[in-house]
Order: sequence, then structure tokens, then C-alpha cells
Amino acid sequence: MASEGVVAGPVLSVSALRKRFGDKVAVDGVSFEVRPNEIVGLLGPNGAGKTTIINTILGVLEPTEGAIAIEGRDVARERAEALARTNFAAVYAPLPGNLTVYQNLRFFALIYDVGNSAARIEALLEQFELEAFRDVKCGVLSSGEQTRVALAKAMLNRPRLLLLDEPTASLDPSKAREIRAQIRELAHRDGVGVLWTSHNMIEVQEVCDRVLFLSRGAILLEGDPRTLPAEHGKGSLEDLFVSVAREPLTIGAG
Amino acid sequence: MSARGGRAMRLRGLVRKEFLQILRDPSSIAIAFVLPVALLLLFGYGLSLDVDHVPVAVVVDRPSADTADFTATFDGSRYFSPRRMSDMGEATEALLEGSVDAIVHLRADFAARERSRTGAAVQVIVNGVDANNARLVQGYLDGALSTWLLQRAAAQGLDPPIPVRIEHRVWYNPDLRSRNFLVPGLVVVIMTLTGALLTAMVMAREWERGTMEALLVTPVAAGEILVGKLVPYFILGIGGMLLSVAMARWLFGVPLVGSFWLLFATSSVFLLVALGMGLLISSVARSQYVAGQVALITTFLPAFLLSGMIFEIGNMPAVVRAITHLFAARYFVSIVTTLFLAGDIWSVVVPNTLALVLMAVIFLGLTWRRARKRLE
Amino acid sequence: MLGRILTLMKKEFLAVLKDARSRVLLVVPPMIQLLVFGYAATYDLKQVPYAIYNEDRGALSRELEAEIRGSGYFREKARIASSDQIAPLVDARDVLLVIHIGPQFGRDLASGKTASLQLIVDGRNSNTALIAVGYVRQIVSRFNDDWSQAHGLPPAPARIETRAWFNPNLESRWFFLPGLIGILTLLITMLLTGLTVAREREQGTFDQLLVTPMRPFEVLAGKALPGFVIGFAEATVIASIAVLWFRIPMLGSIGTFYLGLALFLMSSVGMGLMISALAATQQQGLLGAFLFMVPAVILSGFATPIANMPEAVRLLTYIDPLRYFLVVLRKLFLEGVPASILVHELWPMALIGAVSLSLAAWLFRARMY
Repeated sequence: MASEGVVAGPVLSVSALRKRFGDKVAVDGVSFEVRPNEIVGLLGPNGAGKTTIINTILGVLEPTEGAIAIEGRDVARERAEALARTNFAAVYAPLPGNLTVYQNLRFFALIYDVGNSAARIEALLEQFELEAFRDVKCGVLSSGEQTRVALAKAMLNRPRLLLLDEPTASLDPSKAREIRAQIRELAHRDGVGVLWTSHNMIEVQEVCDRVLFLSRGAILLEGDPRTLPAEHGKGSLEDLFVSVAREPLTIGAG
Repeated sequence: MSARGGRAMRLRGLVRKEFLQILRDPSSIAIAFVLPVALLLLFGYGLSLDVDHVPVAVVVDRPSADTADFTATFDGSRYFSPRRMSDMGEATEALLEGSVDAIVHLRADFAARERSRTGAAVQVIVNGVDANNARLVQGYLDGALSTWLLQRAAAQGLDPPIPVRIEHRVWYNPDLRSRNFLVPGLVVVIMTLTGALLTAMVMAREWERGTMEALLVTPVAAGEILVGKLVPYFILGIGGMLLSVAMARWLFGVPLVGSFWLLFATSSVFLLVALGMGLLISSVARSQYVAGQVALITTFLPAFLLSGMIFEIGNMPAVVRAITHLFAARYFVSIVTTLFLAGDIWSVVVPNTLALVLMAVIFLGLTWRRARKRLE
Repeated sequence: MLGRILTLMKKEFLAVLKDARSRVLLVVPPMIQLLVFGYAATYDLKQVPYAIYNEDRGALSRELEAEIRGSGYFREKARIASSDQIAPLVDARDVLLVIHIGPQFGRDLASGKTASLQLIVDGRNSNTALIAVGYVRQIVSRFNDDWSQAHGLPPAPARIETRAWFNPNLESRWFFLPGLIGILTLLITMLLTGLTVAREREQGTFDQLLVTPMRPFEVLAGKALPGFVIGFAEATVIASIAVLWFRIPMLGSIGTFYLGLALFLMSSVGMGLMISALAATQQQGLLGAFLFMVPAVILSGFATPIANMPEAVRLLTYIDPLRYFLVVLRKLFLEGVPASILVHELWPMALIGAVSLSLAAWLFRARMY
């Protein structure tokens, strides 16, 4: 399926974003872009500000300073229109557990005003191999299945921008690999721009076209994750991160 | 898709989802329908301030034709259930035990003093612990005495020895049935409970389960979330209200003198206030536990004790009277009692409804503002 | 075993006391409620607003007016000059009654005929209406006696002399305040016990309890005892305020008070835990708490006498621990009866407590295995 009406210019553009909570500065002057057909990784340890950035992009939090535009639309001023072709999946934002897979997809289809939703839902159920769970309550599904439902929901409105906050966090390695492959394919086939946050450098290396190092609310470095370490004379992304951020990426990881 | 078309779709989705979740947890349906019916049945039949067949101990020291004449007034009256006792000792015990509410004691010199200059004194002892009951019993005994005096005078062909006589007419609720004002008041209490219970946990539950986040990241606006929650519970609440009013009218026989549509309209406003309060509690509390506790404290007892349903607000000291203005039930009790028993009296309905509208705006407005502040 | 119970108790106490909001909710509302409800709960009519419609204007009618005004029960709100002014005042509930003295009043009285006084009373609150009429009757009765004496007329052959035992001024507040102590104690135990198990179930921490060596009885004790302790403390505070601030008498013994309180707490904590154990979600727990508490309060005889209730409803009150506790409190505070007379009210509470606590323990176990 070819993407409709290719937009010239970035899908997401974040400019000089600053977010303060009282005295604490969670995001300190962050600027970056996500272009269509590109998977951008936001790499950083817990507490770096990844989720805060995502929440400001989605208009859930109001930025203290700075601007965010999705396909040229300012999120602060036209939130509903800006988010119309955006979607989101994360482990900590589960779908209502007492509704079935079908009911949930139908609900979000209405929320996103998806045309011809019945057909679209069928296609997604097939694509993510969820037909067997159509009438099963989301609350009883395994985490792998729940992640697939979340992704199916995330694709309902054929988003131009997809925000994924540690989507493979609760999956075992083989499942995680499958999901990564699926998302790569979706992104490149449909021209979607993806912002993928993670603290897992292996994942980032495998999936992302570009990576941003995020530490203590600021972006320290940016580049292709496969070539970046060598460019700076380091053996691995993790070594590079530690030397630049002067803090470890994480202890252990998914 | 136009912005308005999108909004309509989102609202449709939100309302549909809420209904689906209501169907999943039947406790909401129970709250809306079973609770009002059960409580109304229980209290409508159970509560009464009408004092009938008051058990009184009658002690006559020296029975005679005169004393028999006097005590006959009790025997015939529906207000009293007289019990002859042989002496004050027995009667006192009965009073202390609670098996009689009053003692009527005709002393040995009753017959003699009746014809004397000073007249006879009938000693009455009431148990003052239940002061209201005692007062009512006293009133009845006074009335019985009056009746006896009049009858006696008429029998003797004399003018009644009463310089001034009282004729009273009762407007609205001429039967003076306490049920006629208690039942509408109960409907108010029940609707307060229903409204708050339906919504008190709703928002908090979504926060606790994390599903609120899944909702907030979509194009949905705070106001839409609010309306999406209000609509289904409003419909449930109205259903419960209609059921309650029907029971009041046809099961308990409370007359509905005013217009039904006015009752419906004012009930809808009140329901919005009750739902709004529940939603506000729910969004401020963030945890179902705290929401539940706040709901328990702020809804039932104030609605029962401070709304004027059982205790007249006019009898309360000024400070407490001022405090009653904080509770929506107070305004609604005024409206409902008047609409049922007196009719469409605008001087009562209008100011109280305006107060309710104001409260609805405040509660819903505050909830909306909190929802907009989202995760901060 | 004791060690485990104490540990669980400590955890419960912490859960309740460490959250600042929870702490505030436990301490402040009961005191405020006692003060506000204590002043609100009264059937005593004060300052009943009335309108006077005096067509006579003679000295006698004005004398009667003065008696009414000076009685302390009534407050003259309006003087009206024509009968069409009556409806707006009564309808809007500006006045509770209208006293109408006809133009013949003075003349009838002077000529030895019976003069009449018309009362128009708003019946919307029938209780108030009856009492107001009763007050007017009393005033007129006094007026009649004075008139008869002054004019040498034969007095009524009989008159009533009333004495009210235990509450000579018929202060209904004395009746309600002991009742409020009971109600507020019930509310507190519901707050503490009604939702705890359901909340832990929803959060999954109840399951964690199950995998420990704790026995169901120990879990029950661990959850029930904090409710007891806090209930005791709160009831003491509330009762003290009732006695010290409101000056209601306390004629009975403190020992009996605590005995009654202990049994009442046993039964209400038991009911609360039972409800909490039955509920699968917190919303159901809240519903259950209300379904128990609302009837328990309204049918307890607090505001309307149990004797007025039909047989079927009265049967239900037998399982309402508040009903018994209210009798205990009233008799204890106002009549000063000893515990031996109260046995009749004490054993039902003990029974309800024993049954509900056992059921709660059984429910814990049933859900556990």
C-alpha cells in the first residue's frame, strides 16, 4: 500500500522543547526531527526524559517552552487535527482490559474517526494474527498478545507518525525480534515515521535508522547507530553512551 | 473529516465504550435500579413520624363513673392504645422499659375535685428521652382533653368552658401523613447516593488501571472524556429516578400535585449535580480507595441530615443553616416536597433550581479543568 | 501466631496512617460532623415564622397576639391585611402558619360566647405542622385559663399537668446526640473495613498474603483489630465532645459505655469485613458498604421510631447492630441504667459480631483456597 499524499518535510519536528516540573527540569532544550520512512530511536536510561518527551509530543503535557509540530500542524494549537494521523503504543498504557480485542479496536477506530472501520479492523486482525482472540477480553491476554493488540490499534488510522515507548519491554527475546521486524516492515512499506524510545542498545542498533542519545533531559549525540560508535572511536553504542553521558545506559535490560 | 465530524465520532466511541463497560460490571446497573427500589421500599414503608396507637398506661386510683367517663376518650381514639394498670409502680416500670410512652394518672380525688373551684389535675408523665414523640403525645393528650371538655359540656347542655377555640386548616398534605413528605425526601437522598456512587469510582478506576493514559494520548479532548462519561450514567440515573417517582406516586400514594415535566426537568439538573460531584471526587482522588472514602463521608449523612428531609432547616442554628447551602440535596428537597404536595410554586422552584444549576456548573467545570491538567 | 497478627496490624495501621489524606479523613470529618449534625438534628421548633392576620384590632386580640409573640416559640414574620396575601406567603414557605383573628373576636369574648381563632398551617412537613399547632394550643390554653380566672368563670373541670422524665425540657438534641455517636462510629468502621480487602484484591497484594503461612483467622484479626482500636479512639473523642460541648448528661457508667462500644465495634467491624470479603472490585465494595450503612442508619430508630415501622421492616432491624447500640447509648447517657438492664441489647450485638466475624473469616478462606 503506497502512502497517500506524501508530505514534503518532516513528519515530526520538535523545536527547543523545555519541560519543567516545579524546580526539576525534565527536558532541557531538545530539538529533533523525524522524517517519513525513518525509524528514529530515542536512547537513554530511565529518568532521562523519554516518556516526558513523548507525552509532550502527544499533547498530554504542556511544554514550558518550545514548539512541536506534526506534519506542520502545531500540537499546542490544533491538537486533535495534529494527532489525527498519529498513534501510540506503550506497555504502561494498556487497552481497557474488560473489553474484547474487537471491541477495543472498534472503540479506537471511532476515536480516530477511521473510515470503513470494519474492513480495516479485519485487515489488522489478520495482519497481527489476532483473529483467534477477536472475542477475548484484553485483560486475559499474554503480554505478547497484548503488545500485538496495541500495535494493531496503533495502525488503525494509518498513522504518519508512530510513537512507541519501549514497545518490546515485556516480551521475550524471540517475540521481541518478531515485533521489531514487523514494525520495520510497516515503517518502510507505508512511509511511516517512527519515534522509538528504548534503553536497549541492541534493539536500537537493529531497528533504528537514526539514534538520539538522551541524558538528563538533553540530546547529547545523534547519528546512525551502526556507524556512530566507530566514528567516535568506541567499540559499542553502550561504551559511546557511557563516555558521552557519564552515566550507564542501564543495568541489565530486556 | 471535518473537526465536528471527528468530535461526533469520538463522542460516539466514548459513550459506547462506557456502556460496554457498564454492562460488564453489573454493579452499575444495580446502583442505578436495584438500589433505589430496595431503599425506597425499605424506607418508604419503614419510616414514619405519624404517631398512632400510642401505648399509654392509665392508672385510676379510685374508679368511678366520672373517671370512666374521662378514660373513655382514650378507648375510642385511634391515637391511643390505652393499657389499664393497677398502680403507679407497674406503670412506672412500663414507662422505663419502654412498653408505654406515657402515664395518665387520675388521683383518688379526681371526682371530688372535678366539681370544685380549682378543677381536677390529671397527672401525665411522658418519657422525655424521645422528645419529639413526647411532644406529639402531649399534643394528642391536650386534644383528647379538649374533646372531653366539649363533649361533657354539650351533654350537660352548658356552654363549653372554653373562651377561645382553635379551628385549624391544613394546606398541602391535609392528612398530615408524614410519609407524604418523607418519601419525596427519600427520593432525593437515594438519587444523591446513586449519582455519586455511579461516578465516584469511574475516573479513579481508569487512572489506577492505566487505561486513562491510553485514552489521553489520542485526539480526544478533556471535555469529550467528561461528556462521554456523563451521558451513560445520566441515562441510568434518569431511569432510576423515573422508577423512584413512579413508586412514590403509585405505591406509596404520595400525591403529585405539580407538573411531571417540571419534576423531570429539575431532577435532571439535580442528577447532573450529583454525577458532577462523583466525577469531581473521582478525578481528585486518583485512587478508588480514597474516592470511595470521600464518597462515603460526603454524600449520605449530609443528604440525610442536612437537606431538610427529616430535620427542618429552619430549626437549625444560623451557622448550620448556612452550611446546608453547600449541599445540593437541600435545594432539591425543597423543590420536590413542594412539587409533590403543593404544586408548581415558582417562588420555591426557581431560586432552588438556579442554585442547582450553579452547583452543576461548578462541579462539572472543576472536573473539566482537572481533566485538562492531565498528568501534571 | 501473635507475632504474625501484630505484623499484619502494623502494616494495616501504616497503610491507614501514612497517607496524609487518609489521616486527615479519619480525624477531621468525625469532629466536624458531630458539631454540624449535632446542631442540625433537632425536632424542636424554634422561631417558627408566622403571619398574623388580625381583623379585630381590639385590645383583647392584641393581648392574644402579644402572648403568641412573647411565647418564645414563634417569630412574627409578616402582618397581613387581606386574605389574598395568605397564599403567596404560605406557598413560598416564608411562614409556617397564618394566625387569623376574625373581626368578631373581642366582641364574642366579651359577651361570653366562644371566640374562634383560625390557623392555616403548611402541612408539607407534617411533624412540624403538628408541633406548631400544639404550641398554639398551649398558648391559647393558658390564655383561656387566665381569662377564666380573671372573669370568675368556672374553670375547666380537668386540666393536664405534664412532667417529662429524663429530659424535662424536651430537648430533642439530647435524644439525637447519643444517636450520632453511634452513627459516626459506624461510619468510621465502614470507612476502615469496607474497602480494604477489595482494594488489596484489586491490587494483587491480597494474593501475596495468601502465600505466607498466615491462617485466615490471623488475617482476619490483623485486619479487624486496627478497626477496633481506631473505632474506640474515635468514639471516645466524639462522646467527649458530645458531653463537654453539647452538655448532654452522662448518667451511666463509663465501663458500660465501653462494653457497649466494644460489642458494637465487634459487630460493625465484622459486617464491614464481611462486605469487603464478598466484593470482587472496590466499586462493589463501596456499593456493599452503602447498602449496609444506609439502611442501618435510617432504620436504626435514630430519627423515626422503630415502633412506627411495619412488622416486616421491624424484623430487619433485628440484624442492625446500630439499633441496639442506640438504645444502649440513650439509656446510658440520659437514664443512667446499669449494664444488667441493657443485657437485652448487648447480647444481640455480640451475636451479630460473632456471626459476621466468623463469616468473614470463612470468606477469606474460601477465596483463598
